[in-house]
Amino acid sequence: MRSVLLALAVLAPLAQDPSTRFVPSGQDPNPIDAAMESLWKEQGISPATLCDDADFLRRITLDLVGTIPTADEARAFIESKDADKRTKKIDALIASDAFLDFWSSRLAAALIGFPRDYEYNVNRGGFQKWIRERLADGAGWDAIAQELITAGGTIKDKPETSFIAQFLDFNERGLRLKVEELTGKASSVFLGVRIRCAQCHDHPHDRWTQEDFFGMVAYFQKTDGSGDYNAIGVKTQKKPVKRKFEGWKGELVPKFIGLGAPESENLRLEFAEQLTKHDQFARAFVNRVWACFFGRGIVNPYDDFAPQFKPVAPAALDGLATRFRESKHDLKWLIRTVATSKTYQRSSRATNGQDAALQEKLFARSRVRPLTPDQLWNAIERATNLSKADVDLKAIRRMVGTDPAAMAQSGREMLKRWFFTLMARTSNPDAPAALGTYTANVQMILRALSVDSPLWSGVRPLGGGTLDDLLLYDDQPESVIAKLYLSAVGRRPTEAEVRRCMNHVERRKEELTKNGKERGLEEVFWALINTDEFIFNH
Amino acid sequence: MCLSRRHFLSLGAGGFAGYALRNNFAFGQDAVKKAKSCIVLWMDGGPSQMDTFDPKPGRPNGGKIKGVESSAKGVIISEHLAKTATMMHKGAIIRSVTTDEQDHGRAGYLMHTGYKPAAAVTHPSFGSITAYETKTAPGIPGYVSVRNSTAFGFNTPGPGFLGPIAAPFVIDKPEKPDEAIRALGDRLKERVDLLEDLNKEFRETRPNDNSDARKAMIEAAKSVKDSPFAKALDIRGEKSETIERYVGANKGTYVGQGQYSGPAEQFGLGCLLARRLVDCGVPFIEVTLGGWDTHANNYNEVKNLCGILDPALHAMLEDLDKAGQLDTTLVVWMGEFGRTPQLNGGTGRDHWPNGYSVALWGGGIGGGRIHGQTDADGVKIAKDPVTVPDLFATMATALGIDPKKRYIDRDAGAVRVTDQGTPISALLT
Repeated sequence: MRSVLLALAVLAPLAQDPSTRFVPSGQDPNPIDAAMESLWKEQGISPATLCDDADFLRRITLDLVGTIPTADEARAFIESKDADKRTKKIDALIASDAFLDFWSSRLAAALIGFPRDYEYNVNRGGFQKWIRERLADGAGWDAIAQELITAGGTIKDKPETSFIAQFLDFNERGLRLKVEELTGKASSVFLGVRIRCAQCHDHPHDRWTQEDFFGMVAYFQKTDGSGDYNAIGVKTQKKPVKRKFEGWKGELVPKFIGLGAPESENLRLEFAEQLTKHDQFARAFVNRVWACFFGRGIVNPYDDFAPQFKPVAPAALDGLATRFRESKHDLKWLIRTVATSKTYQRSSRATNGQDAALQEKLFARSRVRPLTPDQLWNAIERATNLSKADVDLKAIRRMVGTDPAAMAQSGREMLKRWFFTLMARTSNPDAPAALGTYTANVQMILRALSVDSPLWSGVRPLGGGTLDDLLLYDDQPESVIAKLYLSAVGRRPTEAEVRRCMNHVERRKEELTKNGKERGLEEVFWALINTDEFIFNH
Repeated sequence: MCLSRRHFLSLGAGGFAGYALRNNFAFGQDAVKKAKSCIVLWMDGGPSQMDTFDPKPGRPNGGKIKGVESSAKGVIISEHLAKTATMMHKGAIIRSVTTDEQDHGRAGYLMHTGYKPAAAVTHPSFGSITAYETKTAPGIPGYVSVRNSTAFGFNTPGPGFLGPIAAPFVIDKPEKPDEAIRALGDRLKERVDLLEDLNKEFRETRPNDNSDARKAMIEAAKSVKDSPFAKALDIRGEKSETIERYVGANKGTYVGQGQYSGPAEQFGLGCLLARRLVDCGVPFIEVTLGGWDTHANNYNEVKNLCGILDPALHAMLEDLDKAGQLDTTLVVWMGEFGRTPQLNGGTGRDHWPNGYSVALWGGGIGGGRIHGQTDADGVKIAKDPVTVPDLFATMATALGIDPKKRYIDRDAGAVRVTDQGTPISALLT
């Protein structure tokens, strides 16, 4: 039955509804697959098969809304015989509030960095809300970029000014806008060009010169901070602000890389228009979104289109960028196009006779990649029903120690804060060097291996978590195991897996006179939450 | 795994490779004998320099505190640090550190990272940089942070953009330092076996580097239980005389197993732990003592705190020295900032970033030296002001880390180990 379903899914056309979707004229609905298939042919490899429904549902749920499917969602999806179910699922997820929440938070982090402790110069909550609203309104990435570059006002009333205001700093003379950093950021985040490297000297391996860099900086010569520590904001001065720059004594003459001089005096508007007109604008964003979906950009690091970092699939990148531009830089169109592609839906399983590493490098096989701390927290919370479980407040307080901000919060919030500190969330998991690459430290693993950690409250046989719920209605360990698999990894276990788990449960029953079965199941569930299959997106 | 990540970061540095290479080369030529590990004693709240390492006996604002001659010629420190005074021939004092940060949180960030809080980048703490730059045996953390229940606990900066690999191993309760190891329970092997059994098929059918990294990490964590690190954390075998030397006369609340809980015990045991951790190869340890925010009742508060600090610091320095490890261990005493030379209305001292003291001992540091000077009343810096980046460049150099080494964190451009500080050559051996 399962294999029939699988075959159906493989054969099912990835249909789009043309009435509601942007499809550029005279072209194949998906610009990715044809380009990738000819690349694979050229490189002499065949791709992995499409992933099965369980893998697909888990992957798409993590990538679109940042969590894992519930056991019920997984069961329903696997059992559904609808040939169009994948596309329907993608559309339903993209239409959900959770999609806007997850992607606005991801984009906010890309634009104003990950939460820091001293954020007097950004309005993080307002900024994310602003992006969420703009996405909900259907604003394109170009419109969003233009609004960020030209924004003015206080971060409180106009949270979009946070993008510029994040580069405001105080010194003895008051507010100072670090325009070099702003220019570097605008260039790397919107164009994938790390031009800041050329500030101090002409870049030895890149094409950019100091003159190029300060030509870009010049667009912000009249941009300045406003207000004080409590009402910080951004404004445009009538005349250029006097500034000194490390390594540069020349004039500031606006000139946009690859495009030329501005036509009007409204320099920030000119910058915004040239930015979004630039060839790199669509390419950089497509590559960033691609990296979020594949754990690696077509160009790597994903925000560095330097000559030494060549795209591994140039045709797919260019084709997608062209169509993204034609779509009026529509994020939802882009994400839908990536998600519905066969390339995205390839399995992470290696294929007999194929070079597994090359397959992965060329996106012919899905990369096994770590969940971000946010995805992992959501996944643990959902799989173990942690929000309903009894958590030992005293134990959490002991772990949180003396952190005053944490002490003031509820048990769940405290636990979450502790978890994010443990996971070093201050380092941006989406940063090019971190995205798609697992790193850990001894303490993280020790905490994970300690079964009585409050983090595992929902794993226990008593106390309101998932296992407790299951044991209430089911005393057959085999079927409890099957349900635990659905909750944790969104699929049913194989017979061999049930046997392995049952062996463990039986051993515990022999060792313990009391609650052996429950203790055994607890350890099985704990192990499942710690498998590679759980902590990785695959 | 560490290697591959470093490799990746250095790839990220891209075009800077040539530049960095030149820098490293120049740096390498200057290299002399370096410290292998570093212990920072973090005086949370901001310790009063006037009542510790820069006393002004006889001056109106110097209070009743007398100076005491130390083992270093001409170096006088507070009478409350009489034991520590006997180790000053191995140490140095900077009496002229200056910044403009006077908020606990911001200054704490600065004095942990060497950078002011900045936009778009979270800097790694110096402990994380040391951890990142030092190769340790599997299962030995690169950075251990021992906390104190009376500390403010403001966001002690972590690994920043260096990521989880450089995060501190946190010990919240120094009186039970091996709690995290004991929490593994006695069924660790069975549970990990089950986990690896369930991982088998996934790893066989989906070969990938992340699974390899995860597997290595679990192996390392599993081996921690019987590792030198776990043994170093188990202080139950220490003689009570040894513990007395570190903890001094004060006792807190009895928490069982012969242990007490309270700032004195926590800090004293933390220093004992630090010495044991240096012994097992941990390159960076921070031990915190809270309570230095003496806005009121300054003299009594500082006297009490010195009663905790003095025996612990002295015993740690003495034991390291006896074991021949002080020459390869850099010990640093510091907090967020100093305290006002003038008393406020409530016989307290307020925040003072304009000339305060940091004391250093051991590896890489020339003993018996004083750098910088405040005027007779401690109000102005009279000689050799030292910036926080200078201090961090000095610490980095003592540890053999190039202060100019660049890390790339894309948006802020290149971030160096220190914020363009210059090592204080007068203090370095």
